[in-house]
Amino acid sequence: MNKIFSLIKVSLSHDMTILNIKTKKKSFFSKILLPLIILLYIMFVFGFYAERLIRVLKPVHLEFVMLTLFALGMSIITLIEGIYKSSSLLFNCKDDNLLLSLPIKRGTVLFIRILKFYIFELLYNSLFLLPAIGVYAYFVNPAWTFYLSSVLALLFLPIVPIILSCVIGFIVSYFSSRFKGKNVFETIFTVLFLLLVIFISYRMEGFVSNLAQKAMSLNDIITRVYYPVGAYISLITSFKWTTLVLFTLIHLVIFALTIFILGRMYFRVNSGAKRVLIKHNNKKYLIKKSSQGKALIKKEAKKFFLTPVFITNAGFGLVLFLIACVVGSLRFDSLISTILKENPEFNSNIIKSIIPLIMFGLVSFTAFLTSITSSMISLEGKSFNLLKTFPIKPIKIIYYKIVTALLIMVIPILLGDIFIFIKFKFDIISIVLILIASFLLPLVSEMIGIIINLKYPKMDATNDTEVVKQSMSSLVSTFIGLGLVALVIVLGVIMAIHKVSYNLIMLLFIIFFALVAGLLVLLLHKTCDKNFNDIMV
Amino acid sequence: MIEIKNVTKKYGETVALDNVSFNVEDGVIFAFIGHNGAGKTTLIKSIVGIHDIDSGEILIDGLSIKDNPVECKKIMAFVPDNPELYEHMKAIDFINFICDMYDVSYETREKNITRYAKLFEIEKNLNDPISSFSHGMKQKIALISALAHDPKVLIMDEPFVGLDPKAVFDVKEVMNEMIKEGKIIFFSTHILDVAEKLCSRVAIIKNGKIIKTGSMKDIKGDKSLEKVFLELEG
Amino acid sequence: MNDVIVRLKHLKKYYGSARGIKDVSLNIHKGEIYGFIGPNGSGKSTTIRTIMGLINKTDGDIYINGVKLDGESIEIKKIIGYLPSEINLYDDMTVKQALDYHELFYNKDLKKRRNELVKLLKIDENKRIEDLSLGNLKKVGIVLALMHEPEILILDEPTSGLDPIMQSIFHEILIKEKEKGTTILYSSHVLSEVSSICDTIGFIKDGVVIKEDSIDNIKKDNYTYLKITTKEIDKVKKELNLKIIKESNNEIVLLNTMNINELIDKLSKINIDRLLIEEIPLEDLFMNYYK
Repeated sequence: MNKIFSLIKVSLSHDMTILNIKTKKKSFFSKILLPLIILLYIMFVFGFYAERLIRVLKPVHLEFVMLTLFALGMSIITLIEGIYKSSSLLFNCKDDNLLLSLPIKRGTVLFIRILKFYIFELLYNSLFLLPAIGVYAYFVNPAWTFYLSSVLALLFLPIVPIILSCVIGFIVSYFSSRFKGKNVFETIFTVLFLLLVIFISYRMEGFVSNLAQKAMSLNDIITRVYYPVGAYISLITSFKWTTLVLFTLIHLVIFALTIFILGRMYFRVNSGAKRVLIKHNNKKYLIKKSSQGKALIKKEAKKFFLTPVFITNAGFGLVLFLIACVVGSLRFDSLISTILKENPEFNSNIIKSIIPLIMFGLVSFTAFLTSITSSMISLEGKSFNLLKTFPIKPIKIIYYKIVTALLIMVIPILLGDIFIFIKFKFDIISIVLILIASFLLPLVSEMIGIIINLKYPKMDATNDTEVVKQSMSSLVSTFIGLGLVALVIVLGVIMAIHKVSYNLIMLLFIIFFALVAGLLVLLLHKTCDKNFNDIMV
Repeated sequence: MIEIKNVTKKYGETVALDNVSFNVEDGVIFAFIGHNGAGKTTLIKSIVGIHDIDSGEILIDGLSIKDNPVECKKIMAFVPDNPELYEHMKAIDFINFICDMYDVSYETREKNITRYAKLFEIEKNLNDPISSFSHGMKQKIALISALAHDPKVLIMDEPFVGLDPKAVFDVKEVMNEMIKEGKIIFFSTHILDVAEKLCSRVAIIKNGKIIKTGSMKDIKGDKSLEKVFLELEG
Repeated sequence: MNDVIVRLKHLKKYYGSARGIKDVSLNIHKGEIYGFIGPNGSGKSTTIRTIMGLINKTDGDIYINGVKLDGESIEIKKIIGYLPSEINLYDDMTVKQALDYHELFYNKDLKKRRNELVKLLKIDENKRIEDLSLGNLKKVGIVLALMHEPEILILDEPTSGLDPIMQSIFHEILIKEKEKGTTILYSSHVLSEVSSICDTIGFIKDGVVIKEDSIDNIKKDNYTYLKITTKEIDKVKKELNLKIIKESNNEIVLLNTMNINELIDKLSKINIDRLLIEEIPLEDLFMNYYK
């Protein structure tokens, strides 16, 4: 038992540098205060949304539906993220050799890794659920049993999504290890599973537009189909000790059973070595020449496309955007008629005129929430020293990283733009403004990402997921991104309500972000060389 | 010529390099020896621009690595003791990439890559992904990448560790050829009998300070280099 | 047969047609230092990692202490000390923390032996793993492999990166282990080391162990070098048909595998100025297997 505790302690302190505040040279502000401010801001924003929802539900005494939606939403997000994180969290980690050569059961290694995954998701989920729980408590003033149930819910709700994603991770890993080009297959299988999950949850969601009416039926569907959320809501609405005990036991049993079964299979099917199945081809090797810039872009792009977590994390937002544009333009008319039927006070012209603004919002959303550069330095890992020995200025290396990230982001965004432009025939000014935004906003996002990664590099991660999803750099970038999106939406809505012309709103934002971009360029030039040279590998 | 002038580097309280000074002339194979942790890797990494130094100067052909890093790096090549390559690339793509960074012409690459790949008997593996290579094979790729751009200064950290005996032999041959063209080879090693036969000049570092530097003949005298080293260390 | 501690029978690990091990069979006896040598990419590390369970074998059997390894073998790992060629530890730990961490896994008190080794190898326990040079990291690896007093030692390139003083200290440690009856598998490229401390040699090439013999036997059927100074180099080459080691315009060095009488008979037909017959140093002997 003592052994297990020590293992857990080492595992956690090694990787969770967010919790382990090492102040080597960084100041108090950047390591502690800034992340804390961002965290509080996020909790505030979600509390705000929770409050909006609950106000709608209060008149019909269906406040708990807000929690149903939040709990389900968190579970789905955990599942989706888990699917593409799990393979790289569990397999081909840098400490595989270390742990396997010690007299420790493979099942124990699996347990430690899943536990780490669980703790991370627990903290992440709490960030979003705690405000919702707080808001509910404020409005409804429930009995003490609510608090007990909520604590248990916080602890147990992540379990089912995590277990599912680990199982999927095993399956993906098993299949992809049979193929050459393992990484590509891992990405493909992961995407297939993701699409499946998205498809299922899309069918389950209905319109949230007329919530009060639909709330009860929506609630019924969710709670009946998905046991964990269902049990939690029934504990809130009509507390029973038997439900509580069952809730606890079922989750503990599922967790233990999964670890037991998967533990027996762990490292049995995977070779464990970093080597890949190769077939010897007698092709003559190709010697090619290319310029420094092109070679760097190619290298960055290759790394991106061959790192499954990286590509699914960034690709997720971009593909969703593209799908939204395509579906939006193809199914617009049928969507419109449904909205108009339920809300006759709107008319189709009003809706059509606001589309450019909505499009702008969508581009901001996608640009700011997708961050590729925030992991690009960390993913260099131990090979970072190579970059230091090349006869090329650090700022140029950074510049090409930004260019690569920009190319990856802008292409899907532009494609989506084109679909929308064809369908809706905006006026020329709107088109120009949205096109500018499609370049400018991703540029701002990627510059923020690289500046942050230079400041908070994580060069010694055990696996790619840690870098892309759990490192300080990617989290701070995500939170700043959320902040910027919130800013755009809030200011945009305020200006729209005050009858500012939509084109003017977009123009103002573009001017603002152009200024921000200019400042970021100055900041980058000022801090790049020093931060780059300070990174020790 | 490499000029190292009064170089000092501290890690917090620990002094890694203490007023280190010596020169490495053209056309010389120079051995840099010392016990573990004496400061060999720190100095080497400072010469190639991976580390910054706290005081002093390092000049490569008269140019300071601090003020003119790009110019200095153009003529240098560095092979670390544990090569970290891009695992996701094929070997030949990696070598091409390195050549692109140094702006090597197509003809030079073809000549050098073909020659060294044949020499190190790794031609048939050039199309394989680096992730499938053993440690020794990765080292060979690192070597080929370093030699492909005809560097004037070749700097290596423990170059012979992990190489099979034939490769060690081949590397020594390549080094001897290079100095005939006036190039510089500078490496740190623990394998003293090889250093003794191969190098014409040597510097011994202990606790961050250079305790002996000069021609191999003078330093060695009648004894073996190993004996000299053990006496100085003991 | 009963004192064969480590036994590999037709071990196979395929990664695809290019690399891996095809047929590795070897026997290591109790208290023996077994030198495992071969060119880069021949399968040395693959064999070792398969024994340690870091890789799943494709076919063949591994016997430790007469027991076939099958699936999880935690008890076996407790009696084996493994020193990998690349040491992987958690970078932000100190040496002390890393050693404490490893100690947890063995159900006995390791303090005495651990402190003994740390002192002998002159390790600073307060340094962080990421700040250690390659050689110092190797030293930590040595402590990790030895501190639980294993019956079997599996060493992959153990002295690479160590300075000469540490190398000789390490060899002394190994000799003491051997006297205690520890069985040692020693994989290395440094042939001078291998020929001085090993009892038996196993030579692997292209995934197959092609020769396994005791050092004494290898030294016994040692071939010789013929150094012939003559103007009739081509005639020498044609008559003797031996492997050429070195050649210049009037001197040639050949590897003699012929019977001495036959050799003298053939040489008498050629006009030679000088003949020198030398014993081959062991290192060069091994080099022949490499080619």
